[in-house]
Amino acid sequence: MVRFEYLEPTSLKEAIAILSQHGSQAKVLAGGTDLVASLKERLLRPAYVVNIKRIPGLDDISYTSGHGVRIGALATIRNLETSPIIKEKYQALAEAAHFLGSPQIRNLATVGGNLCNAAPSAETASPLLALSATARLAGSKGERVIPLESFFTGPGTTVLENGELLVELRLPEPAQGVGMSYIKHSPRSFMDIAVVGVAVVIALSRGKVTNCRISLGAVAPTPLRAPQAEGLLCGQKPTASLLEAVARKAAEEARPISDIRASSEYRREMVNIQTARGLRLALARAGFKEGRKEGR
Amino acid sequence: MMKTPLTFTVNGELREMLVEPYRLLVDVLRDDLRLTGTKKGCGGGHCGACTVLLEGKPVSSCLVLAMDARGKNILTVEGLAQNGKLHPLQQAFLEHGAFQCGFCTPGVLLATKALLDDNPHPTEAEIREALVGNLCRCTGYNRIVQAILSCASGR
Repeated sequence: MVRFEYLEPTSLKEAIAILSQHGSQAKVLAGGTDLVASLKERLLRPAYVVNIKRIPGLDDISYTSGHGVRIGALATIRNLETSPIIKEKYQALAEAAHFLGSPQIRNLATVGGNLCNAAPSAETASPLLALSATARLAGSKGERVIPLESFFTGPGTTVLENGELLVELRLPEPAQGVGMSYIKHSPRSFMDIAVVGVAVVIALSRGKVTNCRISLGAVAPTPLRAPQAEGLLCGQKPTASLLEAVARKAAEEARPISDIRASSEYRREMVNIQTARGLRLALARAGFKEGRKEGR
Repeated sequence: MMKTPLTFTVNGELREMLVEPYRLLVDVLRDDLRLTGTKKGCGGGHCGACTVLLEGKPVSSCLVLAMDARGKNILTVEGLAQNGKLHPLQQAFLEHGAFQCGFCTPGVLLATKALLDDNPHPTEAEIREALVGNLCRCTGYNRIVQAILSCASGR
């Protein structure tokens, strides 16, 4: 175990000052499920561990009808899994949370930590991308709000600058006629890392898809949208053959590597399979019924 | 390295101690407080042998810094029996033969207590999902599930 100094700021301002002062010598402790494991393995050796959980107000989930939901960075994965508003209106996020680790991990791990650790397979990343999340960052130069797409820069790396913290996520009010899904493809049903993750959020109106967002996890250096696949479906009637084409396009847009968990060829094919399934599930949840006559 | 005062409540009792900041909760419970019911299995938060209830919620104590538990309420397996009487879950595990080597059992009991506190009448599927973080190499889980089902319907 690494020997470090332990600091417990009680305000955001104090935390930012500490992190700015110590730079790469300091690591933020949120849930600890990634950090403490790394400290035990000596993969990270910071001089300072800064526990931000004593800062009040960073763990709320607050929804305003018509405006969407604000999720504090310290909301636990368990909070996301069980929150009535997340389960009702942002179902793909609650489902992804359910498949992260185990109850023992979910009670500690935070959504902020999941995103800042920035694994390409991060469970909450692809549903948040598909749900058009923005991230509020706070640092010594002030605050900034960026689309979550812009947050990830590579495996394990983000745009966070020295002394900057992720404090909140904002998700807009879901569109009318929305349906969504999250599918995690992994060898084990639980306690496993996604080989492929697919999040789909679509909106349906009068038999046509009015809005479509497809996000992929574990198949690129960062969690990834599939804009070309989205473009094929947006504005169209979701016929079976079109859905197959959309899934194939999403597989083309993926940039998977071969690693210990799977080959890139397998991952690419699983993107194809699971995107098709995710689309059909999201459509069903949006109230789409196959075989309806024209004009209904 | 400097030791810092640390106070938290374990099994209803206020405990005060001096710890270095890098100490883990599982080690402080086992080595400093001699509560060795909580076990160390994988060290990485996967196996559940180190499960304790922190503010009523199951957590992997091998991933929690002791300092992070300051001022919190912790329940270990030693806190289940009251006044020499076994907790209904412990009694059910005995009656159903729900343990063999017993190494996973403290973690399973605590994860189950948290489940039943939240959901007093779980289905078998809900029980199995609540225990995905508790690995057992001996029993095959079936008697564990039966013991829990018997408790759930008896409440």
